[in-house]
Amino acid sequence: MRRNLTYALLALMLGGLIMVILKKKITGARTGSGEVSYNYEVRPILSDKCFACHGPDANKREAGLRLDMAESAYAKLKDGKGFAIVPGDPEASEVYRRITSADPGYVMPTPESHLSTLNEDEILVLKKWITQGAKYEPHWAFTVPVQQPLPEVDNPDWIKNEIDRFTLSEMEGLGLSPNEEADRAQLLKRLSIDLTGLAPSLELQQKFLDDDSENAYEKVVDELMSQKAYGERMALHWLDVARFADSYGYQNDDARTQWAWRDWVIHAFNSNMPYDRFVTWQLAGDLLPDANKEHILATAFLRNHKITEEDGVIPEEYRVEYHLDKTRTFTSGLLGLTVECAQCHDHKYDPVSQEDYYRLFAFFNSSREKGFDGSAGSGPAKTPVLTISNTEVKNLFSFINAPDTSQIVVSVMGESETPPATHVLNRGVYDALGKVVTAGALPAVMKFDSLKYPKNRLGLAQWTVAKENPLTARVFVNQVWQEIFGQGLVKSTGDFGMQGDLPSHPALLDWLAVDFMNHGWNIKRLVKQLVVSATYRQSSKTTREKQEKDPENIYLSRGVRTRVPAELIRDIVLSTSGLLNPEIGGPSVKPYQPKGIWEATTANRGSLARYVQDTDGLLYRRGLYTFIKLTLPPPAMIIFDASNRDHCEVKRQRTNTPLQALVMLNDPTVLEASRVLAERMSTRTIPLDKQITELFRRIVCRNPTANEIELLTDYYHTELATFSKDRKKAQTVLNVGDHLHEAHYEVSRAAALMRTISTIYNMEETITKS
Amino acid sequence: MEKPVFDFAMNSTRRHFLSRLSLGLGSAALGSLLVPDIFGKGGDEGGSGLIPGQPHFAPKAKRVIYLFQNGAPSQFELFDHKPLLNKMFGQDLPESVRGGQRLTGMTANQKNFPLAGSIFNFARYGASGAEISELLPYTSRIVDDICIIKSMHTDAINHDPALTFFQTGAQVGNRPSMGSWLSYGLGSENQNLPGFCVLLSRGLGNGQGVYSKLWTNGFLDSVHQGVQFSSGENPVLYLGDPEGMDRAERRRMLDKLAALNQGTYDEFGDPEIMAKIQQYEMAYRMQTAVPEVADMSKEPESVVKMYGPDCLVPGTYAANCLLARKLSEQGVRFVQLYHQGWDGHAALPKEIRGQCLDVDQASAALVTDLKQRGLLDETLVIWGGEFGRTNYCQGAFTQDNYGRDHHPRAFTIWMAGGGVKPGLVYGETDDFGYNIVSNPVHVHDLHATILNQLGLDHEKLTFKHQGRRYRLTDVSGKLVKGIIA
Amino acid sequence: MRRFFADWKGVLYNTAFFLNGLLVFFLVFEDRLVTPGWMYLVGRFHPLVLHFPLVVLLLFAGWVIVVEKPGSNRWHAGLADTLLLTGTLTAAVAALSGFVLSQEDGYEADAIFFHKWLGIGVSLGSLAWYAIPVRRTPWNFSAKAVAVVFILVTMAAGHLGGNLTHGNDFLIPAAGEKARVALEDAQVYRDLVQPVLQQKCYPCHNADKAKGGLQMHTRELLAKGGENGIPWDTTQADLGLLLRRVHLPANDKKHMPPRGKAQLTEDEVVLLTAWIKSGSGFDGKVSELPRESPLYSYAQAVLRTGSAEDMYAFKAADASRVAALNTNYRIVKPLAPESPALVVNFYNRAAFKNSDISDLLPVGDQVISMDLSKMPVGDEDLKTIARFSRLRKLLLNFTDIKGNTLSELKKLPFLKELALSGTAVTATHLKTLEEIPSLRDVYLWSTPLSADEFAHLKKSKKIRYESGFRSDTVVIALNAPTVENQEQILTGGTRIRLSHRIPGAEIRYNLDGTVPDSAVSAVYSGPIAISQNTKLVARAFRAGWLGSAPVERFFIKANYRADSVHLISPPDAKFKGKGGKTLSDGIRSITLPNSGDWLGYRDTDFQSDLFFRKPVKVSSVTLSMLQNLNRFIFPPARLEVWGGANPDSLALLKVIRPAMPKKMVPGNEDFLLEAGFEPRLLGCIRVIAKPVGKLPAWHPKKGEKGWVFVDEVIIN
Repeated sequence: MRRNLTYALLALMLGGLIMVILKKKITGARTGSGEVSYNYEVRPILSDKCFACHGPDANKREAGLRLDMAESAYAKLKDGKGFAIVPGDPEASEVYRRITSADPGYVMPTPESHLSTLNEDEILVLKKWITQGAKYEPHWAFTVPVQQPLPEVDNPDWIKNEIDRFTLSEMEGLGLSPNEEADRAQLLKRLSIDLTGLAPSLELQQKFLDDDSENAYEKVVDELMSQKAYGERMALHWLDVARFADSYGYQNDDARTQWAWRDWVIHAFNSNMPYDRFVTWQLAGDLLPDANKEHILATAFLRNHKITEEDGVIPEEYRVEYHLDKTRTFTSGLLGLTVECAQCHDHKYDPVSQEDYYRLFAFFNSSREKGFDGSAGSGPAKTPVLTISNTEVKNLFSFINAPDTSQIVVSVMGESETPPATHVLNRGVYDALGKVVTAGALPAVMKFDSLKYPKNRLGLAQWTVAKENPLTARVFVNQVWQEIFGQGLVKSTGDFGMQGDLPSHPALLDWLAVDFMNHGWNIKRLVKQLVVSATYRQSSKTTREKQEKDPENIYLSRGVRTRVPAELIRDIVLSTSGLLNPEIGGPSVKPYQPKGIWEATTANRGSLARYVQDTDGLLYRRGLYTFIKLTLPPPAMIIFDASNRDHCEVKRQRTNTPLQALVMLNDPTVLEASRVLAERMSTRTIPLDKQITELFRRIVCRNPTANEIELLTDYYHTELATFSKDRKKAQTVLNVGDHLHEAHYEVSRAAALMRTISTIYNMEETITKS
Repeated sequence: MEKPVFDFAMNSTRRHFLSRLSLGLGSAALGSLLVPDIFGKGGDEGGSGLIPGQPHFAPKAKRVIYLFQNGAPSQFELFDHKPLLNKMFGQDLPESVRGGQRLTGMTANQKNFPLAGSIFNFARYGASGAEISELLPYTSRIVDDICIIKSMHTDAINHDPALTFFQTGAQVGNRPSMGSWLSYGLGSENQNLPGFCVLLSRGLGNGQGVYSKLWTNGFLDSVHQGVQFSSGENPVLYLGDPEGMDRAERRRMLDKLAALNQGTYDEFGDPEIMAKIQQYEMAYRMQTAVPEVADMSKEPESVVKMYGPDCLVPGTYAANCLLARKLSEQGVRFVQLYHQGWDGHAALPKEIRGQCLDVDQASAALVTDLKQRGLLDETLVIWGGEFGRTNYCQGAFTQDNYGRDHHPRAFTIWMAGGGVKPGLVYGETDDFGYNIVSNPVHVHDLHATILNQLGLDHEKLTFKHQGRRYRLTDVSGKLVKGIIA
Repeated sequence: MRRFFADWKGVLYNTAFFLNGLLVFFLVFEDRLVTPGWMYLVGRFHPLVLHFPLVVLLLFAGWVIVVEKPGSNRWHAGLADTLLLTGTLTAAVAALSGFVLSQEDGYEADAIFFHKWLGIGVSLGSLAWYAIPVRRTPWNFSAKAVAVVFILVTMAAGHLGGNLTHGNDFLIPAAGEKARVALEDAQVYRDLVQPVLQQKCYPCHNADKAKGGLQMHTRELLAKGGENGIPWDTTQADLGLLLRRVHLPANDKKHMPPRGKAQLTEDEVVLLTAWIKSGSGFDGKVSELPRESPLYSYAQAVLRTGSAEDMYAFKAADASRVAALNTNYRIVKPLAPESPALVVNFYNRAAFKNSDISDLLPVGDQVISMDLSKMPVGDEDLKTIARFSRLRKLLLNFTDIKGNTLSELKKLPFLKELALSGTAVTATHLKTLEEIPSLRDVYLWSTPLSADEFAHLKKSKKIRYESGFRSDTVVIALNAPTVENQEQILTGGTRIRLSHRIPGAEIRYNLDGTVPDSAVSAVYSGPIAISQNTKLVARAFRAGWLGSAPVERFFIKANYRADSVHLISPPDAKFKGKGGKTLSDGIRSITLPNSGDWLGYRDTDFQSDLFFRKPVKVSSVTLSMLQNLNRFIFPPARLEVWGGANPDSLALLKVIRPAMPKKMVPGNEDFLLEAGFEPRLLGCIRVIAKPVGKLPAWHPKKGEKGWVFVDEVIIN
């Protein structure tokens, strides 16, 4: 027996040893049991740590070794000593020996590269992969998406549509369970923000709460999507993609009138134009066989880039720059690829050679535009220009909101009779001409069959929206998903390449992409699909457990909870206070802006030297109509992470800074909204708690808790106390904003109420979609 | 004598066993001392090796004040004295010297390039005997505190790209500006002020505007964005509480607000909500900190005389220099000034006189002021424009009136403090002042050096965005060892 | 006796057991192990101990094998037992130390792998062996089998270990590098060049092994060169053989140093080049070099006690404690990652408490610099500050320090910089600073010290006293006063407001356009009213300053402002200004055609009616206009002013044909066109301005139509 104890003890130790061995195994297991996936596990490592010097870029390639293709990776090393990768035998593979070496002279990545060495897990993945035969696969995003059978789940009653099958099976895999459905108030606000960008009106709130029919939810979804505001909401993201702005953007920054194109975008979304057509028109409307002015107007998409008005520039330098910008917008906006690197050298990570890049560039290089088309004051549109007469506005362009009868000019696309030859530009420098190339799209993505497609932008458009194109649908679906769920299924919305993030739900992404194409690229249908899913409807409450298991909510086991985009903050404030001017489209407007910031930066050239604030109704237009002067975008928007529209942006940051607090506290827009609402309320003769409840419902879109009512009421009372003592002060407090005061209101009560309201506006929840 | 020995192992009783087991645990206990995160997760850290908010190595400088002379001052009138140009006044610039340098659209179709010597006199000053023009009497008194670099060169030839290049390391594209990189790399010293402040002023000379892209955070987190100060009643946008609200009332409001947000947190448990409460507190502190710094009324007369009387007039360059010192002193990491009006394409002599009156005294005063407070060694001051100006005349040309076009190949800037060698003239240009003959300093090199002085390795200060690691110095940049003290 | 014996073995056994436990534990948590410095020493002993178990265990195992039958006299259980036990213990020690050693860098993972695991096997195995009964029956086959296996394992472990062994000086961990030479007395060759050659070239070019006949270890031989000739030749572009070889492509056979050998760093190449360029002298001193020369920079890099952190040898404070000391207004940060030195900054005078300093005492030994500027720090606080014994830099600018306790600072043995600017310290207090040996710089700007007191202080050899900028002797010009009025047109009773930022500055002005002086001109005491168009000139004066430059502003007096305006002819679409109200907004616009404030006319005449609710007595109508000849903007060909009670009863009051410019004048200019006439009561005024029909002959676009630009109609 004693002996047994001793044995037990030894066993304990051996156990320890075994643990050690196992532990190594476990870490192995962490990186996916069984077959290692090249796409999902191996390539990210190779791409991040190796391709910089052993990738597609021929010029930067070290020791002639290329690790992104099987044949070159298996081949004998240039210096004749051994092989980089010997399938099945890590120990014999130079790659493995080097990543595991501690000798600074031998280890990879080299210390000079400043790419940290691989960690234990990464090494294990590579080892396992080599042992299993080092099989290469084509990059996931470059393979045509196919719909796999819907996954089985343990809890099918939760499912509302296909989306949920995918998300739930993932959750179940990770031992997560979905949240309960959010309460109706929450849901309605979420929907309203996602589908219209506005807070739901009291009436709508009531209507939805009272409607206990089966399909109440679907009904409200349809109602919201049928509103014109839907187009505005959808346009917002597209304006970022299209780097839309109201000025030319270089130093002498004069106004331009691309807003007519913006009106078209809103119209396109509202009339639910299929995405393939939407894209085709914007890329090549002017080249369509029966091109009309609307088709041409759409091509302004490609002309929203910055245009210099600086005297003495070298035109060719800028002409090239403009087309580089078009190329960038096309690739990251529509294909979700970042290929700028290939301007100067072969892409380091993705199979895009410098030549491929300039073949793509060639599509735009045949345009008629000029590098320099007049300095500041030379007009609000540059060659080629589309002029829209007042009569045309009345007939063809009913969706354009023309301010007066004068004609509208827009910079658009147009081919030159004598297009210049396109060269590869060495180091991306405009005057360092390399070999001549002809137009062609990225072969790595999909072959550009010149028999099938004309060698011009129209051909490019057809290539882009071809069902075989592996990217277009995936990328757009992902962008819509991002706008609604807060982050894309592929987190790096702008980079589906090898350095980008991998899809969190690959099967779901592909399923949606294919489904989207099979149903005629129907955008409204897609949006509805997302918002009716059970996944979307979950409450956004989180627990410590979920926070730990999935802090970023990648596996969607709770509803989305994010601060709304800059423009929508304005929209919420205006709509809830009743100040909003619901007009659609038209020239961009100049609402309140801190004094002197344009004046301090201008060179006194052009019509934007000084900020001339608009008046009356124009002060209360939606955020997306705020005038964007590229050299100094509206500060309140920028502070809330709006795109500065300098170039194509597919994903905004979401930060949380003291300056944002200051805006909400002191921006006249918020103060005026509070004031107007307060003055109106103060005339009503309902008890205070009722008033506060109503205000709270208007602004936060739910019933306040007892605690909230209490907090706000005694805040109101303390403030009222001060104001009753000092009515003059109350007057000054109420003296904000151009909007006329109510006919008769009680000053001190209004002032106290105003502060109470602006407190509500400052609540985190008010500007949060939750 | 055998047996007992023999029996020893057998005698191991339960007590022995237990004591031994405890030994086992004991060893575990001892061992655990060496495994700090024994219950935490296994450590696998990759990344650029940068702990945001901490330098890579011990910094020489803690803060930067960049006095940007927007529009490109003429090196020939200020620092780079070229008697040959006066000798050859009016003669054509030899093609051999120009060596195919591209020209701006303004002089591209100019038939000849008449050399124009400066009409201003130069003299040598200080122990270093640096040559300074009569236009800069105050600067000439601090030559022994500054390091003059006569061999700067850049890639761009027009203002917008050149400025953008200087501030963001790229001519186009939405890259983070130098200040944002520093804020990202080093974090802010004083939590109650923005870490990166931008101050604007304008002279009477031909102006070239500035634009927010120059202080953008690019793809970095927007807390690193430059905060544009305005000379108006509100130094920082939206800082001031609305009329009729005093501090106590604001406090009251924020307390209620915090309570409300706390409620939301209890409901949703989203950490962002707590962060929000913090941000409101910081905003509240900023509301006191900033006006305090921006208030010039308490400055003693000695300071006013040092910076010049304009330093009390908000929005002037002098006032901005004074404000810059005060912000820097309060721990603002990067203060960026821009002074417009240096773009002397025509009537350069007249314009540059005015510009120098604007900036000379205050720039020098800033250096002196930092020095006399014992702050110069930890504050890096940089003075210069986006490129130089041509040695030949553009447009109307007379003995005492001429203009100069843009010249990227060689120009002059100066630096002071922050571990840069004082009293040094670095690099030189040929007798025409057209090309650099020794120690060229490219913009990327300057960036690398600035970062180095702040304890950052320009190759390690990277940020991965859309699949690529970006750097302020892009893919080049070498330390200018020659100017590092 | 027996008990002791038993105990003695018990202790050994337990220890062995303990050590093995520790070992296993380490293995389990290997990847998170953080080995403190002292542990490495344990590791370094591995080579010493390992042989002991090796021998002892092999001995025992061998012995087991040779025992043929039970009770053999070859077998002595007791001794065997002891043998195995000691083996077990030492094996454990060896394995443990070996494990620690393996934690050090510089081992190739796979090289060490098997040795490590075999070693561990031996340690645990022997323990097991000791614990199980087999060992007591060596004559059993099982025992022998175990022994054989054991021998193999042990030998293998030993052998693999052998391959890893290091140099002889291994036991002494990296000894401190040889003492640095001060930059001042360093020699270029001896202290910069030679060390490089020593490291990178001597191995093949020395007395015993002169590759290519080249020996470098003495100056003479080096200069002489080898078979291929002298090593350098400044007359050649590539500076001769040595550098040529260095610059050859790395894979070239002739490249130096040859492949596989340690290569020269970029800096070292720069160094050699610069040295050879400079004539490859052997006795040049670094201090004589020009400071921008790369040699000098290199010297600095090499000879200076490089980056600051290695100057701080003391131990770091606990990070969490440091973190805890940070508040909104007190920032405590390490100088750099891994640096023990702490830097402290204080902000916000209002929030400061003296305890904010003493709170830092727990990390007092780490703080090397403290900035208390502007804090309400008094003399008594210096006592606390003096307890931060490692302070190097102390900033006390504009604090309440009087200086009485400065002697406290003598307690700071490292204090190098002390800033007292803006404090009330006096010369007498400062004397004591001389007694601080390490003190180098003292900043005393804007202190009560007099010029001669400074003169006296500056005699000090040891300390540099910074007096800073002294304003008392400086006399400079004031800046001009500010004219507060933005508008140029003063309507109705509007007055001119002047101001000056400098307290006590006196503003004097003239309204006749002449420059005011400090004696007779009017002193500004309040807003100034004007009766007609006026050119104001103002200057500022103040004792101790020169009078300011004059500021000039031209003001236009407008008695009346039209109640409403009707534009009869619509302006050109590009220049619509703000419609009719442009003409009566009292603002004279900036002189830019497209500023958006100008009404521009080309194809039609400018025609506008201005209305007054009740008639006013008018004697002149003035048009504010713009001229930009480049852009065809000319004065009007003809200006007509009509007036009457209402639009239907208008009489022509005045016609003007302005003089046309005779030649091209570049740029924008605004000008006034005044039409005076007999005063009369008017309810409606009509103004008509005709654009130039044909641009004059001298104009590049001669014959084309001209523009007129109007932005205001001034009525008196």
